[in-house]
Amino acid sequence: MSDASSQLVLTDAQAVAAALRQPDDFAVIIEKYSAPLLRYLRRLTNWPPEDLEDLLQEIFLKTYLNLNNYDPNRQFSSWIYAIAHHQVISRYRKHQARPEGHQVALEDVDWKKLKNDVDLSAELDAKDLQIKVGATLQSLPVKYREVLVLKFLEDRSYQEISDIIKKPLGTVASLISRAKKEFKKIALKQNQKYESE
Amino acid sequence: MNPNDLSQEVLQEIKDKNIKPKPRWQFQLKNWLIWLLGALSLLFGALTFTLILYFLSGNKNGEHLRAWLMTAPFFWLIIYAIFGLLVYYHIKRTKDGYRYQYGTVMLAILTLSVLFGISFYRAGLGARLDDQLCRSPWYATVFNPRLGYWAQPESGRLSGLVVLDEGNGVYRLIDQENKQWLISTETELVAGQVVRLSGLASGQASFEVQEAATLGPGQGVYRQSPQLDQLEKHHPGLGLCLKQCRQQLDFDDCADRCRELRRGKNNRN
Repeated sequence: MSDASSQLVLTDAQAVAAALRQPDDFAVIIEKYSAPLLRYLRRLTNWPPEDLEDLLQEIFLKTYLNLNNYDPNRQFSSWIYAIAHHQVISRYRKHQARPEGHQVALEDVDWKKLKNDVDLSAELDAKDLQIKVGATLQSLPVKYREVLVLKFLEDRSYQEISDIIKKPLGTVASLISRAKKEFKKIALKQNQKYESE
Repeated sequence: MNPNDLSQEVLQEIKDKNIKPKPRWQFQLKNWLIWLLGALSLLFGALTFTLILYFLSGNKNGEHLRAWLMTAPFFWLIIYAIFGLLVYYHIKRTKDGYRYQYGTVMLAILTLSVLFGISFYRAGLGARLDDQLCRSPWYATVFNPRLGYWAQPESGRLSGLVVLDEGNGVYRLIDQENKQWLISTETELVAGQVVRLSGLASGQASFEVQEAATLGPGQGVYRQSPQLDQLEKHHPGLGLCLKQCRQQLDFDDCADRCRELRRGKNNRN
């Protein structure tokens, strides 16, 4: 790494080119993407923090190994998120069952946004809304949870989601629509459960 | 985790394990190979479609549905579907493959394989491929079960190689099992012609023909050594000439030349 102030103005494509020349410059990419990727992984999985850190390290190593496969005409963030998506899916496949005990991490702004986007305001009790939305998201199959997280929490466009999960635009649209329906169904079920308790 | 700590850890691991980015050519080669395999699968799919057309062309419009079903090239339809799926699989694995919808890709594969298949068929590739396949021991059982359909004299269906014109509409014919038949027909046949006949078996080795036509796919099966030896016995030179034709890609052209030569020789005599 040569000069910290000059690194701040590097575009992603320039950062990749620099990392290919000098491995230490890969730090620019890690520093820029570690926080968003960790947040994405926390929203997507209910794995313990230490597992997420290992996973994040794996993602960056994989990114470094495949740097030459990055196409500068495409968004780097979609490319690195696609690697993260692939690593998460392979880990799910490897372990089959989901690890227990950790709730999907939702920040205050997240659950409110998700609740409004899926149009649940009227149906859900105001009490413990954050827990309910988090539990609902956790109960969803990963294919649905992922598109909801990308669309409503990560604010990704359909094209970006398509590039991340490697599915055609039409499939992304129908996945989101089905995920919203499923989310609503589970949320109402969870709400009834809370009411009866 | 602090981003600085993480980057230190990752960079340390890169150094410790001496990890290097994979060279660009590896990704390009992989992408190129996937396209190549996709293109090859498309080519084989189109060739399979050519064979399907050729086999279907062997059926006549007036034939019963049962005959169509008995002789339909199911094996080739399955192979065609397999190649179609292989093309789809390879296209989906290319760099931008995930962007295309299933329906769009399948429609493109179907259109291209049909267009190429029709072009190959028109160029006469169906007959040539069939001729090559006839050399396989699985031809009659797997590749072209229609041959069995046309080898049931007790049901009024017979096929074989015409080896001798006995005169008065009677011909000598050799079937798949090298059995000799005397057939009577009003249709004019020529020695060396492979025919399929419908009619009635009037004895152990005689057949009354109601309808005679040149056998389409599967002719090569009747041009094996035992049958051609018999032809050579009756028409010296013709059997040998046809035997030599088997080594050539375009049998029909060669067979026509043999018959021309034979005709010329007969005229001189």
